[in-house]
Amino acid sequence: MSKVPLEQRARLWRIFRIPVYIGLLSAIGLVAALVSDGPADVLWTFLVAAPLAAVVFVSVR
Amino acid sequence: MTQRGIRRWYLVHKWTSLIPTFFLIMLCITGLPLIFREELGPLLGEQAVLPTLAPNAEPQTLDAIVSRALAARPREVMQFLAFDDDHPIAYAITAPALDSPPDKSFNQPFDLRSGEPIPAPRRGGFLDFMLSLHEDMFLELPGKLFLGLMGLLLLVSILSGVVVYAPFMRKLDFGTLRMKRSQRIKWLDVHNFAGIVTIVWLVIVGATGVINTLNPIVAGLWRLGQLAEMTAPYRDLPPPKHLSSLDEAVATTLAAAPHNALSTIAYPGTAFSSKHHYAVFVHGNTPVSSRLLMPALIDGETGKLTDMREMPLYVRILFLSEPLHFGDYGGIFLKIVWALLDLLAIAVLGSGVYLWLGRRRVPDETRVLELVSGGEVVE
Repeated sequence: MSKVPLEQRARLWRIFRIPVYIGLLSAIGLVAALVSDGPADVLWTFLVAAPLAAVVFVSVR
Repeated sequence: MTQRGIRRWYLVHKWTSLIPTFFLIMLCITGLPLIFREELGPLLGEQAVLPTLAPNAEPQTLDAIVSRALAARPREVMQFLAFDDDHPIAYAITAPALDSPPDKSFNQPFDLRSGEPIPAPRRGGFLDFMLSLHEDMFLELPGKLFLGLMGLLLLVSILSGVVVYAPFMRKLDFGTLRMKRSQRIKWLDVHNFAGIVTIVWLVIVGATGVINTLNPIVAGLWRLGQLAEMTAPYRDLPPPKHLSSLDEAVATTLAAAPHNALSTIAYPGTAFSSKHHYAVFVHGNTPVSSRLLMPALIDGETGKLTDMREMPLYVRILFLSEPLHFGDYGGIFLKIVWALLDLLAIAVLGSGVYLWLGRRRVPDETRVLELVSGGEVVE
């Protein structure tokens, strides 16, 4: 069992939840674009652009 | 985390960011045009461009192309014949001696459809300047290794940045930008937000950049390891008196590796071959295998294949690091996204410098209190 108390873990998850989602999307896009070819690259590029989408979302809200 | 722990991580973040910042901003700026080098190269005259094909043009043998290249540079020897991945262009690289360094070599592009020479790209132009600055700051190996060290500091800075992000955001929502507060708070929020959203991209570009700086060391290790092993039976043999046909060497290689394409041929006696062999480097035709080279050693006298192996893992990691660093593997849209992320990275670095300039007037303890209190800024 981890020594990090449940409450602290929940707080860390609240802080890092969205950055983790953005990071995962980016990482999947970066690797998938490397191993794929053709039109699928455009789809993976959208995933790589997740940080930019977050910037646009936060700027216009 | 205790206040003492936060203070330690804060100081790690501060110094591992400040030391490499100037170089990282330089790398981000010089990296921008390099993302688009395939597009900018022809426009700036720094990349060979195929001419319109004459109606009676016929492909020539590689041996004929090499003969033309040597006839144009009669006092030189062939070092390498390299092939463009995207266009039917071969680059004949000659030099005064087989072991001459790259800056003494001469590059003659040939149209493979006709065997005719085409105008050589301009050397020392804008993109070459940017690439040299980006790769080694014109300092060769010491410059590369220094930039690699700056990249390692960046990775530590990112890790410590994540650690201090947690207490700072304890009372703030993701994406909080307090634009109506002071300039410093505004830039602090921009720094934290832009930094945390670009983190994966920054880690990948930073880590692959560090790996790329090890290029000469990896090449040296490969020559001392796999290449030496592959050529060991020929170590004490004299160089061939007459070289066998290059076209036959290529045909033999492609027969043994049928789904591959030519990348580079190193002549016997050059750095990437033995005194006795042509080293014919081929690559695959899938998105990943097209980035990985495989050497085939062809006996320079008999034209027979003596060995062909996949390169070791550490070399393959280096090959895959290059596209992941420059973002040139997913078409123009990925390049545009790469450039925008690069600009975001400049914003993270620039805001970090701005915050440091403001912080010099305030003791570190005050800023640590700011972190401990969960972003409650001490003005």
